Amino acid sequence: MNHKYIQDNLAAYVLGELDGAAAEQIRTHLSDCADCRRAAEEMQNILRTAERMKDEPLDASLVALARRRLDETLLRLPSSFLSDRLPHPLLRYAAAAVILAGALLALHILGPQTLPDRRTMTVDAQRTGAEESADVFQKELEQTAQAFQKRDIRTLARLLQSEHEPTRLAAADCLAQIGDASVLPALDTLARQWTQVGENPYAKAAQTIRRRLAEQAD
Amino acid sequence: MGDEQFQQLAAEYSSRVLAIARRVCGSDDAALDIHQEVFLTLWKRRRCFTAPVNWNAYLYRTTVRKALEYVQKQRKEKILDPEYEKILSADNNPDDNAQVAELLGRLREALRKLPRHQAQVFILARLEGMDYPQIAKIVGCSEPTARVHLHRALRRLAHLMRDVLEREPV
Repeated sequence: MNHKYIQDNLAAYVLGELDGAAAEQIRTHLSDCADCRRAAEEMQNILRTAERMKDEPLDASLVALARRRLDETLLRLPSSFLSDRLPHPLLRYAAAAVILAGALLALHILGPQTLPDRRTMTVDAQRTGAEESADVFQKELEQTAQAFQKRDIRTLARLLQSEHEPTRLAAADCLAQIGDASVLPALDTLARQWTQVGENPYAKAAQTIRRRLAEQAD
Repeated sequence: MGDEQFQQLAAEYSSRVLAIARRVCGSDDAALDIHQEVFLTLWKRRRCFTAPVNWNAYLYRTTVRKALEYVQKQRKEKILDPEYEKILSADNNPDDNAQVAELLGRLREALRKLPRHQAQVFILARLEGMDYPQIAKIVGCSEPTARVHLHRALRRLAHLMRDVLEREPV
C-alpha cells in the first residue's frame, strides 16, 4: 500500500466513512508510518476543534434581540416600489427615467385623457382586502395611469399580472377603455379565476372590448 | 413573496441563521450583524422571488457565505473578538484555554481561505451536523461531490493549520 492511496483515503478514514477492510488496511499502515499518522492526527484535531465550535448553545435572548433589531430596521426603511422590484440602483435610475420621460411625453403630446375613476380603485382595494402596503399599490396605480396615458398596452398587460388585485382591476379597466384584442386571453383567464360574489370586473372588461371590436367591424 | 411569508421565514429561520453565523464568526455581535444582513437582503429582494424557493437551502447558503465574508473582513481589520474563544474554552485550565482559543481562531481563519464549496460543505457537515444528502441539496451538487468537497476541505484545513496543530495535541 503506497502513500498516495493512504493520502487519498485518509480523510474518509478519519471521518469514519471507510468500511472494515479498507479501514483496517489504513490502520495497519498508520501503525508503521509516522508521517501518515501525524497527518491523521492533524485531521482529527481539526474535527475536535470543529466540535468545540458546534457545542456552544444559542441563547434565546439573542434570537429575540435579532428579531427586534430586524423589525426596527424594517420600520425605518423607506418603502419604495422601484427598490422592491429593482434591487440594482442603475435599474432603478433607468426605470425612473423611463417613467418620467413617458409621463412628460404623454402630457405634451397626447393631452389630457379620461382616466379610470381613482375612487373606484380605492373602493376595490378595500373590497378585495389586499394586504399589501398602500404605498406600493398606489405606485402601481400611478404606473397604470401613466401607461393608460401612453396607450401602452404592453405595460398594462404586465400590470394585469400584478400580484395586487387593485392593480389588476385598474389595468383591466384601462384596457377595456382602450379596447385591444391582444389582452382578451389574459382577461378571460382572470375572469375564470374570479371567485367573489357580484359582478365579474374582468369578464365585464373583456365583454366591453369584444363589443367595441364588433362595433368597429360593423 | 409577500410580507406575511417574509415574517414567517424570519420567525422560522432566525435561530438557525444566528447559530451558524456565531459558530463561523465566533461572536454574538457578528451573528446579529449577519442575521440582519441576511434578512434585509431577503426583504429587499422579496418581490423577485416569484417561483417556489427552497428557503432552507437559500438561507443556509446565504448565511454561510456572509459569515465567511464577515470573518475575512474582520481578519483584515484585525478586530475579531478573542474573548469569545476564551469563553468557549472556559471549562479547561488557562493554558488549555489559550491553546483552544488559538485553534478556534485559526480554524475560522482557515475556513475562509478554502474554496467556497469546500468551506460550505465543511461547515454544514461538521458545525451543523448534516449528512451528505442534506448538504448536496443545500449546496446544489451531487452527494459524491459533497463527499469530495469535505475530504478536500479537511486535508486543506490540516495543511493550513499545520503549524499550530504540530505544537501540541488538543
